[in-house]
Amino acid sequence: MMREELMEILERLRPELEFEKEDKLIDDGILDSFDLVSLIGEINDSFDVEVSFDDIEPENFNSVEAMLALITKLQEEE
Amino acid sequence: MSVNQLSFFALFFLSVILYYCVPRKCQWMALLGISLLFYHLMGVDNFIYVLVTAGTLTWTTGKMYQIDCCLEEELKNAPAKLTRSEKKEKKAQAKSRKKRWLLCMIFINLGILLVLKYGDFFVHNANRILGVFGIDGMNKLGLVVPLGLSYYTLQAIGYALDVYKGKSVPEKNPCKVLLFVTFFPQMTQGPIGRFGELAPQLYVGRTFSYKNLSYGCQRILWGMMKKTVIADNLRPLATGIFHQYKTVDGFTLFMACIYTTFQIYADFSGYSDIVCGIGEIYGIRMEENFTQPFFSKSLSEYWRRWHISLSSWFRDYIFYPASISKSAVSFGKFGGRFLPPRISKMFPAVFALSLVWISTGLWHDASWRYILWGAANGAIIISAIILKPQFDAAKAKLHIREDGGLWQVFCMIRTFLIVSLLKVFPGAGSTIGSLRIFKKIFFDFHPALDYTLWFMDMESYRLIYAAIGLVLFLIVSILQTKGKVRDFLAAKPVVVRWAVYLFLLSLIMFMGAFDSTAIGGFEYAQF
Repeated sequence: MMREELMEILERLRPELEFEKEDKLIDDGILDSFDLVSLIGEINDSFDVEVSFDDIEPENFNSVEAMLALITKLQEEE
Repeated sequence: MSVNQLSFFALFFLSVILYYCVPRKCQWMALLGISLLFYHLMGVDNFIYVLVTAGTLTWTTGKMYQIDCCLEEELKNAPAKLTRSEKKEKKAQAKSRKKRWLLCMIFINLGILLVLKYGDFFVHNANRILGVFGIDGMNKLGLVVPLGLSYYTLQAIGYALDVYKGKSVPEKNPCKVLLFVTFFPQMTQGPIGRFGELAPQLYVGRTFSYKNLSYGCQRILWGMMKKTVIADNLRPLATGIFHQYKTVDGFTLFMACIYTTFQIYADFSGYSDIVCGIGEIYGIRMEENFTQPFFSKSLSEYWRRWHISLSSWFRDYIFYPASISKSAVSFGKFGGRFLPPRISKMFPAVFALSLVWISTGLWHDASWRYILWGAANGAIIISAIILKPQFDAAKAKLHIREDGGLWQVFCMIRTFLIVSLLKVFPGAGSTIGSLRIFKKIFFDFHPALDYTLWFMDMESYRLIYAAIGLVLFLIVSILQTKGKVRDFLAAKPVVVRWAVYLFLLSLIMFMGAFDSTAIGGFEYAQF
């Protein structure tokens, strides 16, 4: 369920990308800083979490798996 | 003393011998001694400021790390298993204590920067307002700004923020922290290093490597060619036209913008090449500051390829925290009341981008023309983001293929022209001057058919030299997009390699202008 919701957000953000195949979304500059901020806003609203300054690291957003792991961690901390 | 002077290279040569002759565990101390000596010889006697920066950095990062360690210990050794809310509360308390130390560090170091660099700008503007009410103004502070203050302050704050985030383990030895702050090649113009990448390289001992020496020397030669053959030959032409802006037409002023674009790029990227080359000889890889910015297809892409260490610093330490801050999110919700959802969702990022661009302008210089320059860059980038659907629709109607070669070239030229036009702000000596130059470019633009008028009364040989340098520069830039030029060169026979080195050396010796009138010998040292 969480995966589907995240995929919907990502597809809305950048419809032309195949997110499941990417594992260096930030390192390779596929998502730029503006995309990342929009994505964080969507994640905060949809999953009722608060991505903080400490969490904005490439390894947390490089792939769908990394984003899911971050959301799970934040939900557990809530 | 500047890094493009022979005396610098003589001392640098001796310092390399010293570095590789001392025991490996003492190499970082040699590097610190060399850095402090160069810092002194570069005409900077304000040691007190770097000592304050290194001292506060060691002290506050140590405190933050101590808080993290205590928290970890407390959670591990808690007598009974803590509930999730208890853990959360303890973490929040620790974070709040760390924040106080972080703010203390930022307050002291940013305070020094603000007072030294922006004190007189504030007094000047306050006096103008007071003058309106007939009140006597304040005296200017007249403080000397140490070379490199804007660079090492950002580097130090970045390090403190990394420790705050738990990304870096702080260095306890204040002398090692002082080396991180004062490492001499990057001291006056960056690149603004990240602690995690730069510091371990500074502290580790290493043996001499011929490959590092030859690669480093190549890089220095290339940087010197850019600086002396392109930048220093073009500088008199660019500055000369801007100084005479009252008597020349808009077209000539626009040409001055183009010259300035090439001149500043050759100057600053030349410096970065020299610095990276120096680092390489010590076996230290410095952060790259440029990746062919003139091949950018948009202004935002240009800024990701130009002065990368500064733009990534602003992205990581201002843009991200500002765009997810409570005030930015509230701003977005406020916008959502009367704007379409797509636009209102952009509000936090737009708010943060505006902040970044005003800060970038102010970072370059304490003047209104640089604030306007930052605002103009920000306005173009923000407009491009907001109007993207309209641009996409227009492109679809005109059947423009995004990946078409012609379209890509058009986008590169468009970006280059925008960047060049904005060079009016740094080129003009004053805010009023820059506005008058814009007026001339837009309303008195008479393209001259007589090409000699494009170059004013400059000696023709300087232009030919600069043009040769630029063609060489363009060829190498194109080759760099296809692979590593230096590895390609290294694979060639020794005769070919030395022919290239001697060619570069002769270009520098016979065509170099050796103009050291800019502060610190380079344009960006004044920032």
